[in-house]
Amino acid sequence: MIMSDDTIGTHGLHARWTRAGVLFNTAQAAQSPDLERLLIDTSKAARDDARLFIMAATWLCRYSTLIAKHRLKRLILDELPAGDRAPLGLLLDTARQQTGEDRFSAALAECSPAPAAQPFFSIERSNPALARLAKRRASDLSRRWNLWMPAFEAKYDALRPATWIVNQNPAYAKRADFRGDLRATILIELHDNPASGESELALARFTGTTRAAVRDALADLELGGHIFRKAGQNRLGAALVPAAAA
Amino acid sequence: MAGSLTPETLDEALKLLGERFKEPIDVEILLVGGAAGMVSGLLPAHRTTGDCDVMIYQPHHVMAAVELAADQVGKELALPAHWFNSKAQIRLDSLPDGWRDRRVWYCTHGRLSIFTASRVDLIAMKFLAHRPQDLEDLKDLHVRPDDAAFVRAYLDGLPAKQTTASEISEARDYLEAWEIEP
Repeated sequence: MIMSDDTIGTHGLHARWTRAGVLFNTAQAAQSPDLERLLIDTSKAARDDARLFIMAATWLCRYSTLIAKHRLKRLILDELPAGDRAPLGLLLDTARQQTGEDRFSAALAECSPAPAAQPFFSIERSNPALARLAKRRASDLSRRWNLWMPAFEAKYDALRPATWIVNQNPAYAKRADFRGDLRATILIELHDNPASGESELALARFTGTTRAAVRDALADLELGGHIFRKAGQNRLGAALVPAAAA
Repeated sequence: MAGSLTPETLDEALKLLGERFKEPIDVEILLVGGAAGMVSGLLPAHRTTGDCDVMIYQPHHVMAAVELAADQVGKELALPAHWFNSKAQIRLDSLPDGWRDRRVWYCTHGRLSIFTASRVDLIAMKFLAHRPQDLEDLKDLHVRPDDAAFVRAYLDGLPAKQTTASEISEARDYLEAWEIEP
């Protein structure tokens, strides 16, 4: 459902965000970005690119329902060392503060502040005088994550509208329909990782949730014709066509 | 591919803007901000966002007609809404005196001539703004001793333009903290 994009480097990140609807002045990536992985990759690179952080936070404030929350939490646990999670925590917490919505509490619970307080951005770390200024101007939120940066205004005029984003990335429509809840994570998992469809238990393991939660979500997805069970098997598959036509 | 304002797309858009602007008058336009840095090659294009910030129209009364033509061009090329905007004019105080003598011609299409703020003017305005992204831009702009002297004089002149004292004071702090390149 969601094409993976392994483009690396900050230029590649800008191209991926451009495809996701941020108006960086660069060509967009050839494929729809994997949004949860994009957030994680951005958190790793943002200290060297303040605009990248600000635009990712802005995008998250407006389009947080496109993020599959459970998948984001699982990727954090699987791919982001515990000591490197503070930038992502600051990013998610910024969205929470600016929108007043608590969509990422489970992911945030896996993130801890940086071990020592310091400027977030490399440009201010490299110079002690700039570091002192960064500390002086740091927002309360950034102080809580031990990553000093000033408060900033979301730059909504540098975002594409939702219609453009879904037009360019049709697979995001189901994420929006399910508001990023467990059903969205299940659909992504079944598409990207067929082994997850071996059983409800396997799916629970791959999504990092309980079997009961998976069963409830699957019931909704089956009812809506988004998935089907192969005859005589417990195996699940993502319904690329409506179940009745499969 | 629709819409991203890459340097190539911007060139095409400005050319079309010159064709769509039909008023019988010569117009000069000054770009500032990220687009100015991008088209002048001073800042990496992929790191800038969004739009062309226009600080000056000369003569000023043509602004609405140019913006109307820009809207039309935006639709034709599927550019972002407000790709060519005048929001920067609310900070006219931040434009250093003497900018006209230092501006850099970028292109002329039809009756429109497009200029960008000079490197040293961009440096001055970025010290005044001093957000983290401005500091990153300043690193790319390689601030030299003569630039720093220019910015000091610029900041000294800002109180007369009603720029707030705290903004000027903070900008001075950043200038003094900056590692000037030889």
